[in-house]
Amino acid sequence: MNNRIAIILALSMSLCSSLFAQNNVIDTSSIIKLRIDPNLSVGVPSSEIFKRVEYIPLETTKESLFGRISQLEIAGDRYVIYDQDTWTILIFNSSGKFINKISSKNVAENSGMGNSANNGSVFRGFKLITDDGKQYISIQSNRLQLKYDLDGNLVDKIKFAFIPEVITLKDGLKVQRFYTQDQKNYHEVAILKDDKPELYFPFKMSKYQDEELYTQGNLFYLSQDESTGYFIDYYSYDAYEISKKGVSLKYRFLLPQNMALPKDFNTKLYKGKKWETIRTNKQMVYGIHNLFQNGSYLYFSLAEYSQQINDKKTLAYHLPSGRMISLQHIMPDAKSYFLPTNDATSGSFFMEKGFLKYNKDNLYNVISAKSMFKFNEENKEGQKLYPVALKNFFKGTTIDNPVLVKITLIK
Amino acid sequence: MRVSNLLLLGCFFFSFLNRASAQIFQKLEVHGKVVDKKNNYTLSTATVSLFDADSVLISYLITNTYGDFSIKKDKLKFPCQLRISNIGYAIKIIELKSNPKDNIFNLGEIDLQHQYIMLNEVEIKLAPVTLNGDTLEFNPAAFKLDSNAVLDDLLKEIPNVTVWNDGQITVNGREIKSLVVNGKQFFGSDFNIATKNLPSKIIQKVQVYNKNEKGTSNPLDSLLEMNIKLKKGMEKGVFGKASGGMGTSKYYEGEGSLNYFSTKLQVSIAAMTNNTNKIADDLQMLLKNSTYKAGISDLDYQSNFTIPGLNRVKSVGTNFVYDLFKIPKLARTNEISGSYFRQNLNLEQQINTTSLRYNGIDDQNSEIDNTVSRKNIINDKLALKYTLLTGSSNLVVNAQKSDILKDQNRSISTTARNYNLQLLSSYNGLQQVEEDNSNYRFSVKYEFDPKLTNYKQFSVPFSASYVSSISNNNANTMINTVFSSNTTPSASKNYNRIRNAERQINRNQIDLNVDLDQLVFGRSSAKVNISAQANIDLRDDFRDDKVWDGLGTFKKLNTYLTNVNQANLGTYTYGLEFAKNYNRFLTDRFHKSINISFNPKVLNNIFSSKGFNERQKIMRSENTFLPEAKISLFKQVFGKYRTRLSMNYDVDVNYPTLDQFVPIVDSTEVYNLRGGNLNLYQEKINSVRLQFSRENFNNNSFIYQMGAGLNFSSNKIVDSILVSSDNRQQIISTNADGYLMFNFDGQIRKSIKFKSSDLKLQLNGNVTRTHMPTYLNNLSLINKQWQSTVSFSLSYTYKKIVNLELKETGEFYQFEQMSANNKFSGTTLIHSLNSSFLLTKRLSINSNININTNKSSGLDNKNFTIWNIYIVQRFLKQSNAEIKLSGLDLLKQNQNIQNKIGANYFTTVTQNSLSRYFLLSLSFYPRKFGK
Repeated sequence: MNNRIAIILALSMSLCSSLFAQNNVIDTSSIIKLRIDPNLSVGVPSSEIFKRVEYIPLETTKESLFGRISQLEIAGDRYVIYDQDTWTILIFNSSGKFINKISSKNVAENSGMGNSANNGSVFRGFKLITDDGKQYISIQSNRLQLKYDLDGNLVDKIKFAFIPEVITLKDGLKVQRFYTQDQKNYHEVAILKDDKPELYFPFKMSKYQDEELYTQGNLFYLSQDESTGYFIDYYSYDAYEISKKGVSLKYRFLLPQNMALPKDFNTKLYKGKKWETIRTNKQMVYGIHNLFQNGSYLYFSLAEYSQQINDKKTLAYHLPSGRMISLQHIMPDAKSYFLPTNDATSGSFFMEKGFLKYNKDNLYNVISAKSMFKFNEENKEGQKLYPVALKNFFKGTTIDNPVLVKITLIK
Repeated sequence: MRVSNLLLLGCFFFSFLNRASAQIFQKLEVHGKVVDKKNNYTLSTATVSLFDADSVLISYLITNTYGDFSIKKDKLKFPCQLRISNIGYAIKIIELKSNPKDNIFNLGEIDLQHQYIMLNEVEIKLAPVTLNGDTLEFNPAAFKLDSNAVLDDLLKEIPNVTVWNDGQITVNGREIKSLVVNGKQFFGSDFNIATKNLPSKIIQKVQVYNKNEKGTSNPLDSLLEMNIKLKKGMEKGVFGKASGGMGTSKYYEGEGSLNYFSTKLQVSIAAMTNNTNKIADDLQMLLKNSTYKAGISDLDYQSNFTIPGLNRVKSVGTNFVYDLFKIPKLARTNEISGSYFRQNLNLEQQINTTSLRYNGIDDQNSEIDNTVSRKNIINDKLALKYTLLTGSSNLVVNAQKSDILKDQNRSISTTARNYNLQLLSSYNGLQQVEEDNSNYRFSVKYEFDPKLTNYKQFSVPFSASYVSSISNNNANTMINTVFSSNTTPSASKNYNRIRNAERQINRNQIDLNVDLDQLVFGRSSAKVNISAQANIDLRDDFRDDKVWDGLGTFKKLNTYLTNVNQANLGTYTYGLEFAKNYNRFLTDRFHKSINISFNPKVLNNIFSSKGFNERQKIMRSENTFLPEAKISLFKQVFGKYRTRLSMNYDVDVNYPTLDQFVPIVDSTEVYNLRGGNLNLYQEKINSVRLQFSRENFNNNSFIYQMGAGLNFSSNKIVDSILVSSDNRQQIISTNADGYLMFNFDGQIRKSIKFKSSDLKLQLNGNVTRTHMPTYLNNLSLINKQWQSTVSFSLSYTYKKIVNLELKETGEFYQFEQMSANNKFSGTTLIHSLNSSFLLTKRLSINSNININTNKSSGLDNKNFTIWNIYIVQRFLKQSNAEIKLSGLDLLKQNQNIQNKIGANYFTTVTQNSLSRYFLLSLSFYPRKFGK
């Protein structure tokens, strides 16, 4: 929903050379139906599913104080985060040491907005781009594209030119989101091939202009080894796999009737009533996000309005056996110094969004200092096991920066 | 006599406590971990409740991140019981028996079983407390309550919930700001109607949660709300009271009420009559005082011994609220409500006043005034209201009609003496007044703010209101006065005067407030919030006075006092508000904000008047610039505390009335003749107010609130008084420099709950210092006043059998007339002890003692004690009938004394009032809930 304007802009600027194209057929022959009853999911000790758990306190200085990580990207040995509380990009190294920050004031000055702004209207988030094999932070502001290096220094600024969102898979296959050739016919996904693009999931512009579209994550996810992509539409329980073979319906999530959207939810019957329905039926699952596969586990989060501790919303589905693990019920053990690996019992982030990021073999969560201090107070067994970084962190205060939890998964 | 009574009461109380403390209490320490073994995880928000041998809930807690809990208690009656519950699981009950060695229980892992099937009623009853997301839920069925217990009794049983004497409820020290039943207000905003009427057995659960205040964008400005969720099938009910009593000296009381509620309709009808100074001025008060209460009866509805005179009152009223939504909707309202109230008051008053009146330097007269009056007042009030609240647009329409019929006979006798007690003048007057006052009021208010539901939509939020009122007054007065002056015999005059006065006041007010943010800045976020305000207030005052002098055929029209005049005051205010909000918010840590607003306004007052009397033809226009401003600071550290600090600067402009400019002076007002002043102009009072509050979240701690204000003016409208040698006063309004008023008020609350008792402490205080300029016999003076009231109350409740409240109230005042050497001071102290004892399950005794001490400089101390006792016996199966014997003012000491301070006088008022009586009454409380 928040990206609606950006998407409409992208659609209106996205012109391709092909004169015509037709929808390609989605392969539904190898569909896997997953029956998901979150109530049947179980908890396991950390060591059963996690190979390694690392708590990375993000350094607190007057300059680096921030609130909530709304975007995390990993660039080599750097963590680049966007904090929506202070509208700032902060750069930390792999051990959590603060490197630099790019404030909205800094961006406003560099983009010619001058002193006019120090708020959320200057820029919203960033992209990591690669130029000559080197990674940069790209920020769009005031019709300019600002390029910063990973030390937070401005390297270049160019006039903003729309670059279609093209994801390159491991085998070189290029997949474009929001494709249109004539600004009349639009597609959610196009596989770009030399001769002509393969087009999937046609839609009308009115979808993004008039409809109520809510999700708690993205619609497109890369597989863990980046060999395939997954697409899940709004208010859908179907996950499509995208590879050079085309698009196939890979997983269909089947939910208990009392948690599922009404069958006619995407019809005119619910036009203008979608959010009200979701808000009233708090346990209703209105989407799937955070989808990725690691070994024999399929990880995903269920989007619900409800954010109660008893809701099991982020799950790991063991594909061979159908056993489900609730990630918020992972029991702390020595692997995690007997500390929880998310803030489900004390904070709000995990209940709202699920995990923050997955990258290769690693999952990332964030836990506020207030929650960490509460866990520490209650942690009778693990305090003596803490590494130095954690010991030092607990010498601070509850208003210090949050802690990043890096979890390496067992395959 | 008094002391011995108190001693007797004290001995009784302590022997009672001794009896209670003879029970054996032991230490307890219990630890455990709550787990779901089947699913292999710990339960981090399970509730663990500890009950003692009497099935009293001693404490409850929520398990921590690891599912662990630990409870330590020093004194506990064994065997105890732990009840462990979690949403979706069957409740686990663990009995803890006393161990001769020690009472340390390590329960290890406690496995809860899933409850896939819907819980049946019996099983639900076992969970006293549940944490359901952010909502704390209490289940009445799990508490050991009397079969006739009401919500109030249930709340008093819950640890960390405090019901205060004023009806306020706090949970963990935080005040409940709104109490609703099934999501709706229950017979108005008074919590007591619900807490003292709803039986606990029809309540499914009591829910406590944070609710965002409407119109505030900041989620931290949340209010604590309590919702009483009724059991299915119990959403309708009838309750009420029928009561009658007869007493000595022809005292009587009678009252009745009937209330019906369903999911869509709430309707009440109530009536009362008495001559025991129990006066309810509106239906809400009548309903509040007609409530049933299990256990000990309340002492908050007693005869008022401070009301002057003998009063006979009859009241009847009804109201309804009807929900127009077919199905109740979340955060939406569409309802129509109406009310009617009629009160007939018959008063017989004898008021004696002694005033010390200053005439200048070291000079004072005394004035003794005896007034005997009989009044009959009939008050009718009819109101209708329609409310439609949809979130983005809200409409409220109100229509009211009220009538007051007054019939009064009054005789006044006044004598004035100088410092040496020589008679200066005397006055005797007889007055008969018939007055009919009718008021009509219509108002409509519309608010439009689509940003509340869709913040992206381009919009111009606004609010507009229109109020129209018409007030008609018709008074027929017959006056007979005899005035004798010993110092100026020529001033002695007698009058027989008849006056017919008609007055109509039409008032129309329009108020408009438009948010200009998006008009000025477009859709981008505004750097400064700008809104425009316009207020137009038009007031037309029409008077038609016909006055005759003499009696019968000798009656002659008084051409001076016979007058028709009309005064029009138009007040036009236009302003802009510039507001800037600085926020610093870090998730899960703190939120700090500073709000600064500057609200410059231009106010234009246009006054015009005309009348038979040419002098009353006035045309004036005055403009004023009002630079109002506000700054407020807010800080919340999550999980620890919240503080608010605000400072306001406001300007209040008051325009003089026609009577202050050019009055038509009636000579029968011998001692207070009002003169006119055409040089008078509007007063402008500047006000600076500072307020601070702090709430602590981490424990059941203090709530602090304090405020300080300074009002000052260089042109305040004050009285210039000329006192003649025979003590007559001529008062002329004039503008004067040097007005100053400073006040400070504060409040602290603290409650402590013990195992079987609780202690509540409340401290309130306010201090006011005033410098009021005045003129006395052309001498410019500053009247300096100190006034302060401090009250401290300590209340103690032991189980349900003893309630004690000790309250100390002190009122202090001091008056000093600078440069005239006039000074006096006074103190009123009231020591109160309210006590209630439940002697058997159905028999209770209530006692209420007020010891009053009144000290004033220059006067003898006045001390008197009012002691009331009530003996109440309940009967019938539901204990919903009672017989009550009341003994009021047992010591027969009521003197009903009040002290007042004026511009140049100090008055002590003694009034006739209730005195000792006994009354026997019978009450029945019909109560039926559910189908």
